[in-house]
Amino acid sequence: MTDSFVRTALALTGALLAWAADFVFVYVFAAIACEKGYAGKTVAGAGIVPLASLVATFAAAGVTIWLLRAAIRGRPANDSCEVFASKTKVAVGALAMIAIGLTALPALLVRGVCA
Amino acid sequence: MSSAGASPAAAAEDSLPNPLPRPQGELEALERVWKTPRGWRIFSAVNNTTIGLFYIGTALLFLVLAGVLALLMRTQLAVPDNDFLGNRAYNQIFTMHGTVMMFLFAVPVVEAVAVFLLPNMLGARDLPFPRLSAYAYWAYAIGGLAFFCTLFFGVAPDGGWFMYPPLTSYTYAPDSGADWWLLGIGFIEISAIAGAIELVVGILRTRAPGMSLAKMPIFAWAMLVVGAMIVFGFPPIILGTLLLEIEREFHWPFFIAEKGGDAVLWQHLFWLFGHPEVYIIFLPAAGMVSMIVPAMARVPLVGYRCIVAALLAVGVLSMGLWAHHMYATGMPHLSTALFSAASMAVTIPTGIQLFSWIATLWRGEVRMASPSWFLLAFLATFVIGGLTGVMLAVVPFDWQAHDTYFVVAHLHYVLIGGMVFPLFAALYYWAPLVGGRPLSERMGKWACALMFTGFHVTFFPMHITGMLGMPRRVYTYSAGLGWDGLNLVSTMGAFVLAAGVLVVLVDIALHLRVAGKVRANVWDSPTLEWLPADDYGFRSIPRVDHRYPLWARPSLADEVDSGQHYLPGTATGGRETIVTSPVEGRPQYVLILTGDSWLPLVAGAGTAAFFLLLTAKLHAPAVLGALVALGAIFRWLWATDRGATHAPVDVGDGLALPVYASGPQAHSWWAMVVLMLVDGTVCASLLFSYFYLWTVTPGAWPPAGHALPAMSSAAAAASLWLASSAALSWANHLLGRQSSKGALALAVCVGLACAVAALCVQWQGHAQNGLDPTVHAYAAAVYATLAYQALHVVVIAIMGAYTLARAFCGLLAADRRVTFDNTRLLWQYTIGQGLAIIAAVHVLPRLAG
Amino acid sequence: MQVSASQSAFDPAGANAVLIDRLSSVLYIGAALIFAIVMTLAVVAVFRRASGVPTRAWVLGGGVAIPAVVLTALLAYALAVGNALSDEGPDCGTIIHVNGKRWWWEVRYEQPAGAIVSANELHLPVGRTVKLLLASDDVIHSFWVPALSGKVDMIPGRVNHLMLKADKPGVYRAQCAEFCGAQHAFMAMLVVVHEEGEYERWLEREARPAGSSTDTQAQRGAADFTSAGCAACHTVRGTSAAGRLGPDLTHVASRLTLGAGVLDNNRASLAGWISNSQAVKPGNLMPPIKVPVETLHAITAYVAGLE
Repeated sequence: MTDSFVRTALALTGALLAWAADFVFVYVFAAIACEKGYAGKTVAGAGIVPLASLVATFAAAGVTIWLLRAAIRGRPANDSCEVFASKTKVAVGALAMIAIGLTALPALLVRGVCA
Repeated sequence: MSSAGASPAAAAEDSLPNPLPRPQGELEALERVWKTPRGWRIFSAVNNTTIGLFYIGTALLFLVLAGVLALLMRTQLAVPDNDFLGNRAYNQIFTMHGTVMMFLFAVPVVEAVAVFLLPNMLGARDLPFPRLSAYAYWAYAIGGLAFFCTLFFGVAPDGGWFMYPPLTSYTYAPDSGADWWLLGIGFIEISAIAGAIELVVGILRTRAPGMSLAKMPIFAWAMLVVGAMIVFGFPPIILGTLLLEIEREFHWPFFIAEKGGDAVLWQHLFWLFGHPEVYIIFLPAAGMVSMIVPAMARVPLVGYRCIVAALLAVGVLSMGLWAHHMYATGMPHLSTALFSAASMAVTIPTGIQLFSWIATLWRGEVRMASPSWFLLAFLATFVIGGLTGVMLAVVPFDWQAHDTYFVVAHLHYVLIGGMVFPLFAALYYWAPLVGGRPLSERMGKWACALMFTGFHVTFFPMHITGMLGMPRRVYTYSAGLGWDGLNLVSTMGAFVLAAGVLVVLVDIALHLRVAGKVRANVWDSPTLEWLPADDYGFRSIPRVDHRYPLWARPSLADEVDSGQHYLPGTATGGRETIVTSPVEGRPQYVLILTGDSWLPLVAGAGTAAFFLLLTAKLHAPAVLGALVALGAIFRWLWATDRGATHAPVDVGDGLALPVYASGPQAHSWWAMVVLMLVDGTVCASLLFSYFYLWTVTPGAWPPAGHALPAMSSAAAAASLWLASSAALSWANHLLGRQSSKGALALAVCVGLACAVAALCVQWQGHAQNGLDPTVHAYAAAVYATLAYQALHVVVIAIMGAYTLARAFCGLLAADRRVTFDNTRLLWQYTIGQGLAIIAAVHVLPRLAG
Repeated sequence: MQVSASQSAFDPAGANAVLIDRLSSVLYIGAALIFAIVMTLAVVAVFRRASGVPTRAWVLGGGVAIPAVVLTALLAYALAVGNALSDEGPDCGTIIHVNGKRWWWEVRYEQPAGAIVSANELHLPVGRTVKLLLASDDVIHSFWVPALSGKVDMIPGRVNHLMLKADKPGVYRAQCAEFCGAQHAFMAMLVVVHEEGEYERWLEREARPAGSSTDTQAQRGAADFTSAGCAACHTVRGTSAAGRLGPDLTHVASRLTLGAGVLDNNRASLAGWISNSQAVKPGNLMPPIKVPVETLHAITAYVAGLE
């Protein structure tokens, strides 16, 4: 495992940071849209807030899946530190995916976005 | 590695870092250098063991004090329309109960346990900045006790522990109570940040050689995540308290709706801190549980990697839950739903830990002793708390339960269940480390039974009371609403709970001894803190190659104690430990630690005095306190950064480690980075507040009647910041080239002049437009960013002057430059912050408008 | 307190509260089941002898998979209930403003002929959705009548709304649910739900200005009301008293309670409140009224006649 703390920390928490970016983006977008009155606008028939949420969800999920695949594929047999890192990354990735999934539900299910 | 046929003992000895016999006087020298001072001089001690014990003791004192307040509250609420306490007294008491419990007990006690336990658990002799922890402790102890005393003078805050404005602003809380809270927790914030620096740098850089992250005890992982959460979670409240105090004192209307502010902004800032805070309180307890369960079950912890992942997940996810405390404020439904989703997501990593513990217990043969009883109490209670938490995460349910006794029940279930029970398990488990023998088993069981029974009798009925309609924070209630009997039951339970706590305190008073040399692995536990230890920590720093070193290598205790591992003595005549690489744990250099001193106590007292006297509006004495603190700090800093005072040290295994490092490998560089992350988060919170006000202000931004200065002034300011940065880069270059001190001084002064000029240009620009921070929250926010930047310019001026002073005294050189590097880090950060502020205030409104 | 009014969320009598109560039952049962299962496992784990366990299944199944499924379902259900609650229903245009004050409630019924201002009691028609507009003039308060609905904060500078529909006639109790200072504990009010026709009649009576009394003591009291300074804070429509600092007293005698749900509304309580409300609700913003005893009785008689 690389001895660079920054690289290790980012690698271990990457998927969670993807969720965080997704969450912050949707929250800020919805908050501004509701306050400034844009929430009713539509693009190709879909409301802009659910659309923004969908885009963010796919982006975060994409990053997470990419990280998961890298962690599963790049797993060496012997170095215990590397095994630890890749298994931990897989666990983190799974948790992040669940969080991303739950975070996607509001935009899909809530009817009155700003009510 | 060992020759075939050689006996295992001989083979083991062959491969150990240092050979026997050890030189004459080596142990005596080590003991001498680390000796804990006797008598009243013990208050000058900085060793983590001593400070840790003081810290735990003080935190337990606050538990008792705030607990007494709770008993007063319960007495008042035992019957309807009671007059034991009037409304004014009750409102102060419940505010202080919450504030003292959360700020003076809960966070400090988990930091205190880490201060006491972590270095030994990691194989280090002390924390990396012993005087910093001592300072943080004294500021907390002196300041906290003084803050508690506001009750006796009738000036305690009475706005609830979360102090929502406008109730706590200048109109509705004109007396000093709110100021005591706002400034009163100022030194708690300092303590917490200092603690976070110690934790992060200590855990990442001072582990025993060979202890890679993969082999680190779970408690250390938990505290690492907690350190990061403090770094990102405390700044919003640091900013919030500053803004509210400025609003109260100078009438800058951040939270006043009529002047463009918003009361809900405070709620965002408070809960952005408040939610991570409860995980800052819970995760250390979870970490303790993860250490105690394997020891009691006598098997390794099941799912180590899953637990690490879970801790990381809780750390990140918990930063996104804050507005679940605000579902009733009228937020858009989509927003409440998002926080509901995140709040549910965070239960999963908690569930992982829970099932890992249960699986470990199932796998092993559990020894039932006081720690195990408290663990069972923890499990039963915390699971209920977690379940009611999921219920509260459901928005429609919360709309009934919010701000009722249901929430009071939930929060006590998770805080007492999730932190206090594990804490008491930890007290009974690790007590042998203090004095060599365990506490009383009988008293431990009695305490657990009383606390468990008392707790549930007190708090379970509150779930019902709340749903029967009883709101929080009421000093009394009318008869006939169905709350009478339940309240009486709760009150009776409270006294039983208190009795249980009393039993523990009596047990500690009767049976806890503080001994010097301790060798008492009473539970046959597997981790390093159970190695034989004395004032100096371990005789030698162990080489680690397993997650459970004492199980994997039963001879380790003898080996370490006889000096066969690393650094068995003092190589330079001072206190030392080994700095290792953050991920793999490879030894890098020998850290010469600071020794005992009165300066941290003086600085802590001065700091507490500054905040307290400022609140009491005694400005001149407050400044005196600050000067005393600064003087003490500079005096202690002057003795640091000594350069390579010794040739590289042979620590064992043929490794020759330097005794000094500068640049990104230095431990103080890492401390500065953590500090800058805190600083950056405060700035980000300030910019968040600015953008939040923009969002909730209808119409244009800047609002009508406020104009931006010309872009040329912003451009000029930006150029001046960049010039300042360039000047400091030049100074860096000069230092590397061993140039003259005069040239260095010129570069630093030019840099400072540019910084001051940049500030003045911006200030002038706004002032010329007639921007008045008392008129509208927009102006207040803009001036707040400038004020924060000005604070930084003052700090870098002081640091620049200090650095030049060292240069002129011959204490700064190309190979002795940690002071300069630290100054440069903060300087460049200040420049970056200045540019970010210009972008937010001058550029973005123009782009958006 | 003689008037018995439910403040319990377990007695739902309004559309919102009924929905939330059903959701709550699911939550209570689910929580109890999960607790029972987890604690059984924990206790068995602690007390049984050592044995192997398929750890991956435990940690991943119990810790990840099952919670993920359960929470996803719970979130979907919770959002569905949220949707149902925000379904505004047929809007019949009944709008009532409730303004939080320290430590009482100003209630304004929007009517075509002009708003009816009242205080400390809320009257609603049964079976009709009413739109409450909630605000505050000073600090943050929270409007909560558990029998009918969840709570909504009243925040200075913004207007929150709550769609309320009561299903059963009766009297319910509301209480401020956000700590608002010295007398937060005694900021309550009764919510009276009327049968349909009865509501119209009540509104009509409430809209009328104060009648004049034939009782001489009360007539004297009307004059004393102004000379004792009551008119500086209180309004009695139809007279010259037009103070806005305290509750509107035009029909105060017809209310069930006094002092925002603190006292039963009778002569003795009224006299006590007027002469020294600080003894009942210390710290409230009405000063003691120090007047001779006959004046006090006269004012009490006058106010008690403001039906």
